[in-house]
Amino acid sequence: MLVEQAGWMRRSRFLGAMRYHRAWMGRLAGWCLLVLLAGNAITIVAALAGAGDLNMEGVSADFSLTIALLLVCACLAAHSRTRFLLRFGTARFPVWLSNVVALFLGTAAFLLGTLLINLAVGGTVLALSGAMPDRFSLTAYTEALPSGAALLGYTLRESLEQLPRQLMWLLEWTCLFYLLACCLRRRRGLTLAVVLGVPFVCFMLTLMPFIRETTAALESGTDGQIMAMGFEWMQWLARVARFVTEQWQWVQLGGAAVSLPLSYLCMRTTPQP
Amino acid sequence: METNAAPAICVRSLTRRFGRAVALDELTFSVASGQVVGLLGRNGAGKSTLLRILSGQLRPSGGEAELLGAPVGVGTLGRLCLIGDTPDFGGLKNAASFLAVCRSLFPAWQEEEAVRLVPLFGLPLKKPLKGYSRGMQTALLLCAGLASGAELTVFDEPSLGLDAVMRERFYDAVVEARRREPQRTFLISTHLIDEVARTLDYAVMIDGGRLLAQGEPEALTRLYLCVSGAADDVRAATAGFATLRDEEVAGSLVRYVHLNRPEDAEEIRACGRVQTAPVSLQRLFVFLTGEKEAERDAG
Repeated sequence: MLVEQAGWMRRSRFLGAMRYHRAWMGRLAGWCLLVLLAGNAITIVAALAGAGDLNMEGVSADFSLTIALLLVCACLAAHSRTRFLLRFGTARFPVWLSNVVALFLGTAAFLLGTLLINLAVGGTVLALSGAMPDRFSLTAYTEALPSGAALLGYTLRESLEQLPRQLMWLLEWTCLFYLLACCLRRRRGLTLAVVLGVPFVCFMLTLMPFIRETTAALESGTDGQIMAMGFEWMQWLARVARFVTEQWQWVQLGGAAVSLPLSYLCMRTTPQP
Repeated sequence: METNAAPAICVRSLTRRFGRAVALDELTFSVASGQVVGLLGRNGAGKSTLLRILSGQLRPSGGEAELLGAPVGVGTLGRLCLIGDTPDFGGLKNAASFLAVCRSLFPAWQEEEAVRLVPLFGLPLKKPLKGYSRGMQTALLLCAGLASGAELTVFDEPSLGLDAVMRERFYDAVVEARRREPQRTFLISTHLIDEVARTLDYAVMIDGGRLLAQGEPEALTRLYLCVSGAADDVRAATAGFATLRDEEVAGSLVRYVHLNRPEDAEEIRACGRVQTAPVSLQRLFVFLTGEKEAERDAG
C-alpha cells in the first residue's frame, strides 16, 4: 500500500473527483453538443428538402449556450455531485477545487465543441452553396465583409482570436456561478431574494427621481422642459452604457476574484449527509 | 505492504453537541490496526456522529480523534474509505462507471478484487443504477468498500436492504479480505449485533454517546453465562451470582448471570443438573444498555 508515497492530488482524491466530474459533466455536455448537432443537421436536411433556406453569417463559438450550461452544471456540482463525493469521506478542499476546475474545463471544452460544430456546419453549407446557391449561402450581415469561403476563414480567424478572452470570461463566470450555486444550496430563498431583489431595488432607486421629475414635467411643464427631460434621460442611458462598456470587465473580474474564496467558505460550512 | 503500528482509531474525550443534545459525551477508546471492529450501538447511540467525525465531515465540540496515528484531516482521508448507509451514486449511469470513478477515488484501489466481488453479489455492470434494487445498490457500495484497499474501511449499517444470502456473502468477504490483507482494518457500524458477531475481532459498544464496553467479543462475554434447567436447580446453581434476567419457559427457568470470574462457569456446570450456554454479544449488549438505563433512571 503506497498511499503515503502518492502525491497530494491522488491522496486527497482530487484526481478521483476530477474523473467523477468528467464522467457526469462529459455526458451532459456531450448530450448538449449532440442536440446542437442534431438541430443543425435537421436545418440542413430541411433546406435540402426545400422546406426553407439556410444562410450562415460565419462561424463562432456559442458563448451564451456555454454560459447556460455552466449555470446548470454549477448547480449540479454544488448540490448532488458534492454530496456524492463527501459521502465517501472526501475532504472538502479537494471537492471544492475539483468542482471549480472541472466546471471551467468542462465548459471550455463545450465552448470549443460548439465552435467545431459551427465550423462543420459552415463547411457543409459552403459545400452545398456551390450546388444549391438559392438554398444555402454564406453571407455576412454587412457588405463590408467577404462572402463564401473567405467569410468562413475570416470569421474563424476572428473566433480563434476571441477565444482567449472568452475563456477568461468563462473562468470568471465559473467563479461567480459556483458561488451562486453554493449559496442556492445553502439558503435558496435568501439567495434568490438578494440576486434578484438587490439589482431591482438599486435600479428602481436610481430610476425613481427621474420618473418623478418626468411625471411632474408632463403634468405642468412646457414642451421645452419635456424635451430637456428627454435629453437628460438619453444622457443617463448613455452614461450607463458607457459604464457597462468600459468598467464591466473589471467589475466582473473583481466579482470573480471575491467569489472564489467565498464559494469555498460557503461550501465548507454547509451541513453534509 | 507495510504494517502500521499506530492504532487504527484513537479517540480521546471526544464530545459532540448539537445545540443542547449531546451526541458524543467524552468518548474514549482505541482500536489496534488489522482487525475487524464492530461499532455497536442502538439507534441514536452516536455511531454515525462518530463516523462523520472520523471522516472529517464534522468537527468535534471537544476532544481528539486520530486515524492511523495522525489527526483526522486531509492527510488521513486518502487512507480511509467510508461507505455510508444511504446509497448515492451521484448521477452515474451504471456500475461500470461507478467502479471506474472509485478506481480513481481510492488511491489503493484493488481492481482484481472488484472484478471478483461484482459477480459474487450478482451485480450487472451495464444495467442502469436507477433499475437496481435497494439491496443491489447497497451491495455495490460494499463491493467498492472492500475493493477500495483503504487501510481503514468503514461500513455504516452495511446490511440495510440486503437479503440473508447477500449479508452472509458480505461478512464472508470481510473475513476473507481480513485474512488476505492482515494490515487492513474494517470498522462495521451496526445495531444488528448477533449477525455481525462471528466476523468481529474486536467490539466497541456505545450508548448515549458514551463507551459501554470494548474488547474482544469472547473476552466481553466470558463473564456472563446463560443457565437453564428446573427452576430450583437453576436457583441453587446460581446462588451468589448477580442475576441479569430470568425467563420461565415451559416450567423450566432460564437465568442469565454475571460471573465474578471466568472459572465460575465451570463450578456451575459441575453441579450437573443444569445446562449452560455462553451469552451472545447481542444479549450482553442488551444487558449492558439495560444496566446503564437503570443507572440513569436512578440518577
